Amino acid sequence: MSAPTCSKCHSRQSVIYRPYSGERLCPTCFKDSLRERVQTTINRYRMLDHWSRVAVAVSGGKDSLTLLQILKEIEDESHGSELIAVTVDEGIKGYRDEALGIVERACRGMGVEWRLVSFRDLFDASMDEIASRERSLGACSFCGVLRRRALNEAAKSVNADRLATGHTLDDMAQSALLNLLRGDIGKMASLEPGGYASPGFVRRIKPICEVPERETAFYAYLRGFELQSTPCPYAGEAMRGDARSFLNEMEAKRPGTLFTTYNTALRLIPVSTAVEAMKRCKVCGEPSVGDICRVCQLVEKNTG
Amino acid sequence: MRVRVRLLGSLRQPGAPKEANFEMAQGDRVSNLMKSIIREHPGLADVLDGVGNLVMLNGIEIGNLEGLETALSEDAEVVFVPVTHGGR
Repeated sequence: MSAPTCSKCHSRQSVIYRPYSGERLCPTCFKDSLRERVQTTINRYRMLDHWSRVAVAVSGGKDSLTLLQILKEIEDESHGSELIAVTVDEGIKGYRDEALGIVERACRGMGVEWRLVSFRDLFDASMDEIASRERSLGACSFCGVLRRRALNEAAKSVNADRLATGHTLDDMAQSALLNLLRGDIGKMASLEPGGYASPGFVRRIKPICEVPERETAFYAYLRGFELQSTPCPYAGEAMRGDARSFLNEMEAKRPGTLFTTYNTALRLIPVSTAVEAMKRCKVCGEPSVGDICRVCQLVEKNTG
Repeated sequence: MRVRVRLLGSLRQPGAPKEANFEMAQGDRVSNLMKSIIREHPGLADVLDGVGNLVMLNGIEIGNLEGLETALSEDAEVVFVPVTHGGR
């Protein structure tokens, strides 16, 4: 069975269809279009300065490998920013062990410096230990908060002035929906793709936030990235899975739903930014919304 | 007719080979192949679909063809790529 000709180059056979735009693209034009979209996002939100030192959060999943590959290509062309891959070892037996091997090989292949930080070093416990203790919250609630702190620490330790994360369009739309479902309008500010400069925080940027996850999967396939086979043992506990299923179903029925949800959330950010004002945590001194930061609250809850 | 199947990433079952062949009937479609795979690997019933995965038929994603109704051909290669690691 043959497919139509590529909508962009009009010469090669297309291999993928984008229902939200109607485009049918060949492998070359698909990869080019993804890189152009990321470059446009970087420019639109002024994510990088000419000589930024960028810590790239690389978990070993297809999204972060796609992010690293595209940033490497963009920076190789412009000879601008410096990239350092940073990975958090949460201490999840089997799952993280496999991913670390994938990240190490990928960074070596791309010629990118790599740094590893662990929950064990930062919080004196692995995620498996935290999860095994008595807890009222899901494992992902702990892991998400501690991982954000760990990435910030990793970025600071390599003197980075930016921290790039592999949040996709799907992640952004899911977070927007979850914030609405939880009535947490203040959290919308964290969706700002270009991040914020704030004392104690390395500015977080989300260069692939306008790339659907189906397309990072396709990019990973075309590039021949190693795909992790072991799922996270705690993944089923997250409410995010429900939001993902709902949005996937809506996107299949009504292409463009993910973009609409994301764009609507961005319009809510000016309102939510006024809600969140940062203080300093009275325990650890890190930036915090309340008197005690979420990390210290969770560590106390888990060990106290 | 013989169809070669590869399941990538988290779709690959522990201990399963990298590639497997499936005997399909003339006129069978991708949806028939998926049923055959699930019969052989019931553990995939909840994750092997066209929404949570890319389905590549001879290098072309089936959304660019006729979706799950795309007809298979002799010696076709079908690759399943999980979109969401660890399920949907």
